[in-house]
Amino acid sequence: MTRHNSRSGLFLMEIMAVILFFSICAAICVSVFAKASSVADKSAELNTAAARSVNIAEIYKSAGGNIKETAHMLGDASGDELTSVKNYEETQNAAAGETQLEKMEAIYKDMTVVLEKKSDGAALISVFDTEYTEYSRYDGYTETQKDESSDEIFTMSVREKEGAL
Amino acid sequence: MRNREEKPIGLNIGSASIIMIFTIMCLTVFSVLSLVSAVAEHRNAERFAESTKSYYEADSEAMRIRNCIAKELSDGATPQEIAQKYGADYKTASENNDTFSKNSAYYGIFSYYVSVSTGSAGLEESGKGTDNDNDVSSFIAVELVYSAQGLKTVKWQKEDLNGWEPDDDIELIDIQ
Repeated sequence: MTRHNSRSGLFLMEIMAVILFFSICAAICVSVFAKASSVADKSAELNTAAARSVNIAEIYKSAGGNIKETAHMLGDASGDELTSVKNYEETQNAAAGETQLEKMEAIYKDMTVVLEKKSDGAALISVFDTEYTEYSRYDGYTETQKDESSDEIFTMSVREKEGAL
Repeated sequence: MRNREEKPIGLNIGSASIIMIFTIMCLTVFSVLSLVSAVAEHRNAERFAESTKSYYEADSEAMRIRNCIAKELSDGATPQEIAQKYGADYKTASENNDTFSKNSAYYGIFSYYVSVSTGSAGLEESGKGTDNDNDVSSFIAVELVYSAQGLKTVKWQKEDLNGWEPDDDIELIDIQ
């Protein structure tokens, strides 16, 4: 009987040690998995950002540096992933008597691509991580609001075909 | 009867440790593998992003030079002066003896190269890359035909510094 009790006690001690050691190791391994998942998400995001920038750059070049035309073409070419295209910061071209766009925003579900003309004739494409914050309205409905402090994922410059210096 | 009572019920001592060691080993191996592959994938993504950025910077620079050449020509500068200013080569129609020159009338051809750097940004306006810059692996080669109608781009091509090497390892079936 004493021998049986000692075996049970030993087994209990072993189980306790195993659980303790296992929980420490599992915590470390889970954190490594989480880190791997985060890194994989970041690389997927970077790949998507670069691909979308190339897409917009080529559209911008084929539109001859016209941001309004770029926005139209992008809206027609993109699928469901593109939420909206915003054009703003219009400048009046007095000589031609027409309005020129200096900046556009292509808002995707997960990121925002900003195309902005620079003073030297080139355009800068910047991709930002779009984060939305959900908040409850007074009537009970929930709405999403774009977070202004978004991180820049990718940036590159492009110049229109045969035009500005 | 006594023998039956002495037999341990359930798991033996040590079996829990063996199961745990196996489980921890599996967890460790898979987590390290996933992290290694994720890091490699991220490095690849960064390389892709960097090469995309470098290509468009070089493309933008090549376009800027092209536009400058066009403007200088319209301002009345001589092609030789412009070529010297922007580090480009200029060959008159009489110097060229190719199919293109035989079939069309033009004054000359501008040609220049812009390096595509894969490391930190840095562009060379002329010359096929640089020997001391290890980051440069390719360049954009541009050829512009200058004629009475103005400048026409006849070549805008990304080329590798090492040239193109065909892979002859695989024996292809000769189908006739």
